[in-house]
Amino acid sequence: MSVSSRNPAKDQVAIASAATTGFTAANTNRSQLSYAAEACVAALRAAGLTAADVDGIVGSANPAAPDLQQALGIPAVTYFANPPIPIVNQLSAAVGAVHSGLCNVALVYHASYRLPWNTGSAWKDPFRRGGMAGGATVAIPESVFGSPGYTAWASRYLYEFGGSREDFGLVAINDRSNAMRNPGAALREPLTMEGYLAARMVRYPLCMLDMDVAVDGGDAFVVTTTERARDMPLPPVLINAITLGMTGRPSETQTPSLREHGQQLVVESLKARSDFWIDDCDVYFPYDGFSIITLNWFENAGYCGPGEAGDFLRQHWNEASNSVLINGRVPVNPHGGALSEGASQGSGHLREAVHQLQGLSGERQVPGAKRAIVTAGGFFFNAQGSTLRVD
Amino acid sequence: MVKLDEQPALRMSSTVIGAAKDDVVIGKRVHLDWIERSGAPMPVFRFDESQVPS
Repeated sequence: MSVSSRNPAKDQVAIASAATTGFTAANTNRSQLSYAAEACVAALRAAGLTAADVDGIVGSANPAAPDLQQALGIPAVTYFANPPIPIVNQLSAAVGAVHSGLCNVALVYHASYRLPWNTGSAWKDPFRRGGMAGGATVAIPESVFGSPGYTAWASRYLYEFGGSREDFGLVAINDRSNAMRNPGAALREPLTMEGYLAARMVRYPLCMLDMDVAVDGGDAFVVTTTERARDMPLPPVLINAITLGMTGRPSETQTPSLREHGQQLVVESLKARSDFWIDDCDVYFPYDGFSIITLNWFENAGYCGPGEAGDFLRQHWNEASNSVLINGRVPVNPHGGALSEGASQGSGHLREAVHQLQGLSGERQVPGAKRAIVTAGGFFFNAQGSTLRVD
Repeated sequence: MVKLDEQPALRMSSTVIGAAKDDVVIGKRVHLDWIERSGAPMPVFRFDESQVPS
């Protein structure tokens, strides 16, 4: 496996602002479009822009770019796209479009919405039943598509490395403790290891608290040239490196092993392209759509060896905050992650990274945060990441 | 997921029969069998009796 280190866009494109609606773990009486629109308006205002300044639209599947354009009254765009989730797909499309000149100001959004495939109550809601479009399908019995795939590979993790469910539980507890300091998070009740172990088992070894919590809400970002972002109100967050990573057998059943999937490729690609890595990272955002994904990100990023993530979390556990503080300094998913802030398919991770680097994270702000790493996505076909910095 | 002796790099997802759910864990041996489902033959994998219980 060899990856390119070519990175002509390095630091040339920036996130000028980020905004969120906050998340709710219940079926709200609002449309997915309304969440995307609200977040987009807030992001534009934070950047000091209006709809007329936008000439690029990049979002996840729903709402589609034309619907968002119409809702916001954006007069003209020269680039638009709706790549698949997670969020680095949208961000990388925006970076490419801005850097190449396809557009100058890209509005990037992702609206999370409780859909029939992930909650029973959404299944019963006629206004949500149409939401099955956009890539989500129901697994047939002999399939390990989607969630069952992660239970299978979580079993494999325990089988190979001899860890325990408590290793997974530390990921959930870290997220929950952090979410308690985030007013926009969906789940903010304290979580203990006893509470984690008592949660309903869905399919061994993953329980309810190992899966991200289905929410309604939205995030949005303004992406533009670094040059232009420097004239905007907030410190520009420079995209130092960005990548997607997919290896040769990118499916749940055929992925060769826990040591050979998209995450390793993402790490190799980011390290080849980026000016910094974990030793110089002030705040880390490993994806946590399933807790097992997070453990693998720690190992693949180089924080510890294969199978050692549980011990790593225990060694770097801060008792006072009941959360991880790597080397007593670097928090992990300080917004609460997908397990507690809400299942935002990485948009929450990216938005919090931007807010941390802009000094906007309130009581959970990392003092003087200058560099962040986001490693989003799981094992098979959606691993991805970005290194972000401010001057 | 079932790994095949005949082609180790290939895996397939299938139904395992002939064992309690909790006995179906990584490393157990199974063999191809056929059941009828909705009037049509369907390939499944039967737990090898020789290894029960593990």
